[in-house]
Parts: sequence; C-alpha cells; structure tokens
Amino acid sequence: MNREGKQSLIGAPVPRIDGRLKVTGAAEYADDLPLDNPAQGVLATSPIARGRVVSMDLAAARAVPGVLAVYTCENVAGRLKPLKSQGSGGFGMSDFFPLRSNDIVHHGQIVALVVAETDKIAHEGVRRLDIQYETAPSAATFDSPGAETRPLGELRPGTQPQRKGDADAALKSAAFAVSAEYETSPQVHAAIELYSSAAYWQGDNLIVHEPSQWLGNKLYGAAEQFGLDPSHVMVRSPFVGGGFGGKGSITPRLSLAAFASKELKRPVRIVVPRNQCFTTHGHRAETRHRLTLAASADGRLLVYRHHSWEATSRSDVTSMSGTDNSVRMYACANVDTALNLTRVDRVNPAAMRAPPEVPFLFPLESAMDELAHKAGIDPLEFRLRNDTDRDPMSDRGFSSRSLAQCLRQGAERFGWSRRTPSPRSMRDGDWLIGWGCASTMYPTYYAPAVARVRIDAEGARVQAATHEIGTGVQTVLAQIAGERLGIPADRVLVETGDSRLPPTPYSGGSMTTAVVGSAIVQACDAIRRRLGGAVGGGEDARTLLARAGLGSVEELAEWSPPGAGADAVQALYKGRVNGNGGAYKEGSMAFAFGAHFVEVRVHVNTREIRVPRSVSAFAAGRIINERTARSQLMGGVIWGLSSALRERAELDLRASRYVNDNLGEYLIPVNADIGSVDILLVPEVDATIPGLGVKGIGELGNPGADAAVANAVFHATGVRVRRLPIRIEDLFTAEERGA
Amino acid sequence: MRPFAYVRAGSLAEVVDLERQARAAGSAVAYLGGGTSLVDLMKLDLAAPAHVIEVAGLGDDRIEATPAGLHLGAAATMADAAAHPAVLRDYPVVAQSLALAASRQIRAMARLGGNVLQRTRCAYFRDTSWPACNKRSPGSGCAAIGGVHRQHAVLGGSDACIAAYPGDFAQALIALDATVVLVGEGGARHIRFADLHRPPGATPQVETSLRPGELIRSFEIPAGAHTRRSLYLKVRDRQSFAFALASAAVALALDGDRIGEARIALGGVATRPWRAREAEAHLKGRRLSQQAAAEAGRLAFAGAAPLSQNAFKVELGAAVVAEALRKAGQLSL
Repeated sequence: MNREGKQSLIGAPVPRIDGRLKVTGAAEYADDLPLDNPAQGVLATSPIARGRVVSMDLAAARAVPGVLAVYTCENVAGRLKPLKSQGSGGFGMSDFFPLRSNDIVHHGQIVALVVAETDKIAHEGVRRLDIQYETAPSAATFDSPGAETRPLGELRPGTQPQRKGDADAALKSAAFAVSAEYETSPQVHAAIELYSSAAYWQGDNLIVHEPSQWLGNKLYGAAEQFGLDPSHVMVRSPFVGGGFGGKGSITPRLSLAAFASKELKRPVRIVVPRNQCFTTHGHRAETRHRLTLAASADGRLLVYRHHSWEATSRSDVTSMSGTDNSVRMYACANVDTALNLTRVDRVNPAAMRAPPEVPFLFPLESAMDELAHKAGIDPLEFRLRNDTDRDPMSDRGFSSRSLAQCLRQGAERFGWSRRTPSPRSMRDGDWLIGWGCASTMYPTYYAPAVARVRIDAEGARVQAATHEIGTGVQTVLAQIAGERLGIPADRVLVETGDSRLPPTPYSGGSMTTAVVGSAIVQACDAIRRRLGGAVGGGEDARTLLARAGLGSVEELAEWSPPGAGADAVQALYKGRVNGNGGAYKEGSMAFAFGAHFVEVRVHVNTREIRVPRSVSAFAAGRIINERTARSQLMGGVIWGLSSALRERAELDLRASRYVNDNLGEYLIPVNADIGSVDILLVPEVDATIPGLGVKGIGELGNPGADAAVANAVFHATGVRVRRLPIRIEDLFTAEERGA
Repeated sequence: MRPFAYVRAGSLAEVVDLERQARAAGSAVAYLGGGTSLVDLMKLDLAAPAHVIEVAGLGDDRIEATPAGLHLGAAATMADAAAHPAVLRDYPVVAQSLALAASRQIRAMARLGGNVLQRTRCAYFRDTSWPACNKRSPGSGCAAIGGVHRQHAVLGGSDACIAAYPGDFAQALIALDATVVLVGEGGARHIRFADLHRPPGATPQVETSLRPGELIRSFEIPAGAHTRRSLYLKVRDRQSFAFALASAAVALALDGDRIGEARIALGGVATRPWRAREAEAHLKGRRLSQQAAAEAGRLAFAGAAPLSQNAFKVELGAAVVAEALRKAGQLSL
C-alpha cells in the first residue's frame, strides 16, 4: 500500500499491456515496419569452414531477371569500412568482418549479397552464383587437429584466475573429494523472430529497421562505419521476437543493407533464413571443465578447483569466464581456477542468456551433488552447510543474499523431505523417480540510463530507447511511472524501441527494469518537485498539474548509479555502457540467488526421461510485477531444462559446420515436454541496490536448472551424466547395466 | 525455389495422362498432395519439378473397415485416418502411428500416400551444400558414415547409404501385411507394401519400386485376430514433433496364453520400413513373458550394423520392441 492507502502498483501482477497486440498479431516487429518499394537481399554463405574463394562467376546470377546487384568482396572491400569488436574499441560482434578478402574463416561466412526485386528472385540469384572454393583443413572444436588451446591470460594479458589458499595441501587433508570432467554443448539463440535488416537513406540520413537489444550500439556503430553524425542515424526495433543475447551488436548484415541501399538508392531488406541464423551470428560456445571438490568430515567445503576450456574463434578472444562469479557461491578456503580458450575455425561466439553462469554452474552444481553423495550428506543440506555471508574471495559481504531461504522454501514446496537418498530407491510403476536440486546465482549489474516523462491531463508518456524483447518491459515501466506519478498504469503510455528516444543500455545483464526504471523514477520525482508535490508518489500528478495551472510538464532524467563514473552518462550518448555491480560493486557485492528442485522420471526399460515437475525459488530484491517476473523466471527454468535434455548444435568434425541448422532438428522442448514449472518468489529487500532496489530476473532462472536435472537423473538411475545435453544413449551404458 | 507450372486435373486418369505427356516432353513432374513434404523438398532444391500436378482433391480419401479388412484411401489426411472410429477400435497401431507423427498442423494437411513416400531426414542428403551424398548425387559418397550419424539406420544400410527411413505409418502398414494399390499408365496394380521401398544397396537414389508416373491410390490391410491387439511405441528426443530414435509397431494374436501370431515392425532404426520376422518367428507358439519379449527384442537387432554414434539404437531398439510386446500383451513388470 502506498501512503494514500491505495494498492501499490509496484509488485502487482499487472497483465501485460501489449498482451492483446501480441496474441492478435498486431504488434509490430522491425521487419513489419513499412518500406517504400524495397529491394530484397539474400546472403550467400560459405559451405566450407576454412580456405579461400578461388573464383566467382556472377554472370548467371546477374542475368536472372529482377536481380539488381551482386555484392562480393570484389565490389565491397575497400568501400565499406569494416566493423571492429567492442573488445577492440569498435561496436561490432567480432574483429572478423566479411567481404574484405577471399579468405574463408568459418562455415556460413557471408561471401555475397544478391539484391533483387523480390526475395524469391534474390534466392534464385544466390542459387546461380558459381563460387569455387579451395578448402583448407579446419578445426571444429576441442581435440580437433589444429585447434589452439592457451590460457586466457596469455591471450588477454592482465586476466587473473581466482586463487586462494593451498588447494593441493587441503586436498590431502580432506575427508571426501570428487574429481571429474564436465562438458556443455554449443547452443544457438534460435529466436522465433528471424534476424533481419532493412536500411534506407533520406539524403544523408540513414534509417535502419533491425531487431535490437541495443539500439545505441547499432546507431553509433553505423554512424562510425558510414562516417555520419549520430544525429543522422535512426534505428527502429519496436517489438523484438526474442533476443537472448543474439540481437545486441551491429551486424555485417546491417552494414551491407545500408551499403547496398546507398548504392541502389532504394530501401534494401534482408531477412536471414533459419539456417543462416546459425552461422552468420555467434552462439553459446561449448565448454569443458575439470573440477575437484573436497570437504571435511562434517561436510564443509575445503577445495574448489575449477579449470575450464571454452571454444572461441581465431579472430577474437571471447571468454565468458564464469568462475569469476561461481567462486562466490559457497564458502571455501582453498580456491583454484584456470580459464583456457581453444581457438577453432568457427564464427565468433556471442553472449547468450546468463553467458557465464549457464556453462559454469552446471559443473559446480553437479560436482556439489557428487560430493554430497560421496559424503553421505543430503545435497540440500550440503549446500546449506556451505552457504556464506561473505564472499570467499574478497571477504566482502553481500548486499543481500537469500540462497538459504531459497533452498529451504523451495525444498518445502517441493516436498524434498520425502526423498530417499539412495539412487534407484524411488519408483512409480515402470518409472524410476529421481529428485535433484541445484543452486543458481546471477550478478546484479547496473549502468546509467536516460528517460523522458511527460504528464498532461490525460496521463503520462514515458520514453526510453530500451527494448521490448519479450520480457514485458513496457508494462513494468508503466507501473513504475504510474506509482511515482500517482496515476493508474493504464494511463501511462510507454514508448521504446526507437533510437531517437533517450538512450539506455543494452537489454542484457538483466538490468533493464532496474536502470530504466530508476531513470523514470528520477524523471517522475522531478515532475512532482516542479509541481510542488510530495516526491515518491501519492497524490495524482494530474491533480498537481491542474492546480499549477499547467497543460503539461516534461522532464528528462539522466540516472547514473554510484560508482559508474563521472563520464558514464556521456558515454551512453556515444553508444557505450559503463556498467558495474555484481562482484565489482563498490562496498558489498550484489548477486541474486535461487534454488531449483526437479523431479525426473526415467522409464525402466526404454530409459525415456521425463520432467513432470520442478520447483524453483528465487530472491532478487524488489519485484515490480509478479506476473511478468514469474513468466521470465519460468522461461529461464524451461531453457535450463532444454539445456539439460535437448539443445545442442551438432558439429560435423570434419567440416567444422553444424548439421542440424533448423528448428526441426535443433531440439528445443515442445509443450508436451514441460510439466509443472512452479516458481516461488522469496521476498527480499535490498536498500543498497541503487535506484529501485531491483536485482533483475532476466537470466537468474536459467543457470543451474540443467544441473538439477542431471542430479535427478543420477538419483533415479545411479548414472552420472557429465555432458549436456543428457540423451537417452547416456542411460544405455556399461555403468547403467551395472547399476 | 525454381519456377514451375502448377497443374490441376479433373481426375486421376487425367493426372496420369498429363504426367505421361510431360515426361515424354522431358519435363520433371511431381504430384502435390498435402504439400507438407514436397514444398519442403522444393525449397531445399531436392525436388525441382517443372510441373506440379495437384492430386489431393482427386484421389481416394475413403476410410472404411469391412470384415475383410481396412481400406485407407491415399488421399485421406493423416488426421482423418488417425481419428476414424474403426481405425481406433480395430487397428490401433495404425491410429497411433499416425497420431504420434509430425505436428497437428502437418497431420491435418498431409495425405497418407505422400506420408509413406517421405524422404529421409539425413542432413547430408537434405542440405545440398554437403558435397557427398549417394542418394542425392549418386557416386559422390556418403558423408554420414564418417560424420554425424546418431539418427541413422543400424539395419538395412549399405556402404553407399545408412539414411534412416523416417516414417511411422509405414511401420504399421508393413506389420499388418498391407497391400498398396497403384495407378499408372498401364492401369491399376497391387503390390505388397513390403515391396514398395527398396533397400539402398548400391543405388540409394532409387527408393521405391514405383514405376514412372505411378501414384498410390489406396492401402488395403487384411483383417485378422491380431489387429485389435496392436500398438505403436515411439521413442524420440522429445515428446512431439520429432522423428523416432526407435519405434515398434506390434500386433499380437493370442491363443490362450500362447502367442498365435506376432507382427513386429521397426521404425527409426532401418533404411526402409522394416519387419522383424525372426523375432516374430521366435515368439510364435511361445508363452508371452518378459523373457520372451526381451529375446524377441534382441533378435530383432541380431543383424544390426551400428556405427559409433548410433550403436545405442541396438539396445534401445531391443528395449522398445520388448516394451511394445509387454504393453500389447498387458504384462506387468
């Protein structure tokens, strides 16, 4: 309740204001935006992973009636400034930029763009390109001949592993120890909305329509690439049909659409077919881990040794470095991590939902289960026993930490106390039952954001160049503005998805609600101050406006969290995000925590694996909208189940390319695979989180859920599967026959 | 997709005639039923017909059970056949094999005739940018044998091809000794369903024994004591919209506590619809027991030639056969 006794909008399960638009198909996505007589582009991509183009005969393609132009390195190189990666000070997703030479560095590399009157004609043009290649040996992944493995510190000087104590000595004195290798598979974003770009010019102004999680990056990236003043670039991305990290940076595709549009003097639209979505963009790289955990006789963790290997491209040093965060999960006196990269001939990996936590918590939370089993301690109790209120690496405190509450409340809801500890000890008819648990964590990040709020007699309008990537952000921002202005949420119009709006950071790091919401709070409070009202909410701002005799009031707020630095807001106006928080927060460190409990059933004969139910409990500071929060966390858990049992981009090791580059064969769960996914929101108040006290929930639900499934499979069958995804063949093993 | 002419005809006879004329003129022809397979193949450039002749509205879409057996018109949709009361009651293996395939949307469009002719899901076949595939480009080699072959066949393969036959319905048809009625320029003819699909051998590009221009008019399943005690068990990587890793169509006629007749067909594990006749023979006259079911499962895969990634299908397939027999015989564990 707020101070006038009205039900607070904050936390209320307000239905999504865009729900009807979405289910009726009325919501506009970037590729739905109208274009005036666009030409259609189709990309041609390399069928080989490494080598070079030795000849190109474009005549047949050019001769197709309706083909307008064919772009290859011959007429693009030297005329289109290449993008550089953000790591190298640019805006792009990789230091490799296509169409600069005849060299081929990954399968699916863009080798040509055919632009035609229709997309069918352009596809036909691509089919008629006669491009001859000379193939060189390629390295697909770990262990491939030619793959180059090096410590991250050598590739990126200054990188320090997390180390503390003397792990070797502690291992000798430990009562229990486990040591094992774990593996995760490459995943692709596979959002339902295909990647697309449309670009056109109005004089010296460039207008781009592209699904986006970071309008600012695309705006400033395009401005730099085409030598434009940023005020001459506009990027629109009204609704986004799933991002998951795949729609952040400016892409070579956008560059090519803008380049071709300039040449042809008409809009150019490129929609990427599904198979090219697998290769013209990055993916979640496969990882390997070697873990050793050791504990004392009373179940205290003594050693956490975690050496990891991540696959990356030849062109970039991309590491998710998940141990930087995973070392904060449990109290442990002796820590030894090592990060290694293996460079292979593939497209550069990209961020994907909880990029460090998903691949790095799977081995930790699996090994915790293994050690608990070995020590004869219930895996829930073992986690509780090793909870900590200080960061084991720095001895700093946490701004708040509710892992134990999540574990306890989740266990209670799940009925964990009825679990019998031995593998294969629970059964229902033909089905072996297994119960597994795992912890999860996600850092609380924040960065500056700018928002504009205007109020008139009708209501309020909120403007921010943030992104509706499917999370319900417009609803949540309307609630925040409504609360602070004392008006109903349905009297707040939220405008997002257009780079002309005030700048915000990327929709990543689970920080949109926290930081854009905080900017909106600041703007609303400024309005109230101007109108002489009490700050923080209460009396309807429209009443204040009428009393002041004003038609409307508008405020632009530049919100910057403590520690962001004096230039942080200015950086945002240049397409840069100076984020902080998490383990890097000044003072105490900020993380959200959670716990998963999963029931699996494994058929005693066919070994089919089902997940009829799960319970996950999360504490993430202030929850703005219980309904959208629950939905996001549920989506995260479902992705975790998908990581556990389905998703894997399948590599042909000889050709260094995927064989399942379509949604028929790249498996994600269908509705029938998902049973009850129960989400418990554990109350948590954290006044030290800047702004609204929101920790963010976009990524928290996903990590750890895969480990909970693997742990449950062990409990059901006695078979420990250390490689994801778990497949039916993993349960037809010598180990299983012996079990 | 390449340009093509779309042709509608007034009758099946006219279709056959149009096809003959086009073929005589050197044009490639494809028949369009529900389109769920053909359109995909055309997009993938695996089919490039100059003429596409619509047959969906012309063919036999009748579903009828008589004392002699079950008639399934090839133009009936999968959804209609799966939901037909007589099929559900007297031929459950047919209904289940259809209901467990594809998605609701596809089942509503796809026709039975086209269903049995669907082509393999082998990635090396379906993506023309892979250089080697003997089925697509005879003599070019088989990329799957040394590549990703988790989904591939362990039965019926050759050095030239190990692509799995992906369908489910065909397993019910072969298990129940169906006959296929074909129409072509020489009129109608009947063949055993078991003879419709050919082993890959050295010519995996030749998948069926259909003559040029011939199309399927109907399937005829003879009645028998076994058809009611039948089922289709399908194990796959997810609960819907996935092809079988291993499946079994089984039908049993019991004679007291003995097995009078057993029918077993295997999906997802073989290069064509596959009848496990040795397993059937082993069961005949025996008491149905856990042990007998397990033995039958193992016998069904006695001739398997697995590779590294699909070796699990031997054990999985045997387990699926045993489980299907157990369910059909209503044995408890």
